Amino acid sequence: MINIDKLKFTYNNGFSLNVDELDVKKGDIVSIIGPNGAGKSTLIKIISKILKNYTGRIMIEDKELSNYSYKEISRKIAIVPQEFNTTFEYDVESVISTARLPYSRRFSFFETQEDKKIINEVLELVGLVKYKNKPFSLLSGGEKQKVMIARAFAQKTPILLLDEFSSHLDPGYTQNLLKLVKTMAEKERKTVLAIFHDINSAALFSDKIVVMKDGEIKYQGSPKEVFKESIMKEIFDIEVYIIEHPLNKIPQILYK
Amino acid sequence: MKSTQKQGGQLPLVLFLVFISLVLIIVFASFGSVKVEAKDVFLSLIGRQENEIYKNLIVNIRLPRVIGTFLVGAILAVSGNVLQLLVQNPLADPYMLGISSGASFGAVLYTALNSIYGFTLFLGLEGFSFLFAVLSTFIVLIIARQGKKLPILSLILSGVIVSFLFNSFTTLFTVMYWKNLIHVNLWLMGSTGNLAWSSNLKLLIILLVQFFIVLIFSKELNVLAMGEEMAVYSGINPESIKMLLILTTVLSVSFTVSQVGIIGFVGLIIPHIVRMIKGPYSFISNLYSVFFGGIFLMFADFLARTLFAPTELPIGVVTSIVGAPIFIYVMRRKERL
Ligand SMILES: Nc1ncnc2c1ncn2[C@@H]1O[C@H](COP(=O)(O)OP(=O)(O)OP(=O)(O)O)[C@@H](O)[C@H]1O
Ligand SMILES: [Mg+2]
Repeated sequence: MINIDKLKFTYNNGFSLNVDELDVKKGDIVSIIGPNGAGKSTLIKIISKILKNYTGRIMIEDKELSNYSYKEISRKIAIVPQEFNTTFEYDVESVISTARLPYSRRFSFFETQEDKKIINEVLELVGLVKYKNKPFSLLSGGEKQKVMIARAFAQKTPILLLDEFSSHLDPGYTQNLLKLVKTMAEKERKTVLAIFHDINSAALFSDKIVVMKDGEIKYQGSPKEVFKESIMKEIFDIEVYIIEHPLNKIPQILYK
Repeated sequence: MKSTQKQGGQLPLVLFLVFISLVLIIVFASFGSVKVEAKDVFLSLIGRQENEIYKNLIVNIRLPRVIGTFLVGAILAVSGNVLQLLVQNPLADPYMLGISSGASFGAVLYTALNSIYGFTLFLGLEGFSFLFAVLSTFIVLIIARQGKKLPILSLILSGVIVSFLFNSFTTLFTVMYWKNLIHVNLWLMGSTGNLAWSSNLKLLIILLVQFFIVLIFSKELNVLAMGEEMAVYSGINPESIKMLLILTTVLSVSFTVSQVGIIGFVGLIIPHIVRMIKGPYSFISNLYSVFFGGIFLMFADFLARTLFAPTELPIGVVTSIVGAPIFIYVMRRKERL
């Protein structure tokens, strides 16, 4: 679904990203972990066509990314950005309705009935129905994240890119939304690439974990393969103890 | 806010605003150096006026001025709203791209060439100020451009820089040839007194075209107002739409400035007030900017004509005196943008 080959990208100020190889198969749920400034968001921004001057190859469903128009790619990929806010007082509904633009025709000025139905459904999913006509800019950080998740669902794409989508959520909602995204993804065979800072959530959430540092992928594999004390020490410079989750046998980290 | 307010359901209010605007056009047309009864204005309007002097005064002098003032106010307010949404800055105004400084320079240059060296150039004062307004904006756009992108911040910065440059040249000319340029200075502060039916027709066409383009791209403008990244997430090429909307705005405002001089604050304040009342939704806020801008400027023109009659104030002075306090008030409660 997403195949990256010898990707190279450099910011003006010198940071450079080098991804030799990354393959995400259809229906896979893949997490990216790594320290601040590792280049995780940069990678997501390249795949979402925000950053463009890269070299190498990025195939999305067997077609090179640069051959997609903005509209075409927005029907394939939905994004939950790390940070998002609005200057003006647009309400929650209008923020979510932008996810329906990839399907709108010129000279159709207002949302269709189908759009409205979808917007209500996704608001229901994240439990924000009563916020529908509240100004987005006045929501709390976690509420904004929920809206952006709802927005990404409303875009009805086969691929989801999530940049720390649970970083502002309380523990209950983190669990709730992790499960929700996972169930949605499995039910609709969505391909998910998600950045996490909470390493344990990453292990519970995904089939495969990609470990990035200094603009490169250092390790990738199943949670069992990459959850090693030595790797955690090397990447994050933390002392950890790794145990197995008693219920689902997934490795988890305890901080020493 | 009910969702219907973002979309349909506007008709009764819009009809009401149309009605109010028409009434105000008649009322304001009745004031001036000679007071004419509103009834007589109405009779002239429907072609039943028998008094030839009244008829001439109203049909050829008052009405074109009042209606033209409405159109100018509408164009400036819509342009301001589009630009503010586009650059995501509620303090942006249509002149920030160098239009006003370019237009001033063009006007001063023309007057200097004309009165000092005796050239009569076929374009006239209006043509010169229009061309230089467009020219200075193009310089701004070229400087601001980085590769294929037009980043908002560099747009604002180059606007400031180019404006400074053109303003310095204007000052230089004014200092060197000050005797001949006083009337240009007056012209620059704005007046809708010379508007005739022919220029009103052009203003009307400009307003309609501008409104039509903004209507077609209203969804895109909403997304751009949420940020360029949001536009990309939603499948929109931010650069091409931004360019189209900026060009439309620049041409409209440049033409308007060439007709009536520089009238400030309308394009800054009216969109603010409209969005405070109706929210930022592009179609709605542009629709209401037309009426609020038009009515506000007709009112300012009315004050300019009557406050110190028979002396007329430059309309730009009135909009500033009325506008500045409103602007300060709005800024101080900026939790609502
Ligand atoms: N627009 C930009 N221009 C220049 N450099 C940038 C830009 N955005 C990010 N960088 C730099 O690129 C590097 C990687 O940034 P990136 O946002 O990809 O990190 P990240 O892995 O997402 O970090 P975090 O976990 O803190 O979100 C950083 O050193 C950052 O300073
Ligand atoms: Mg990041």
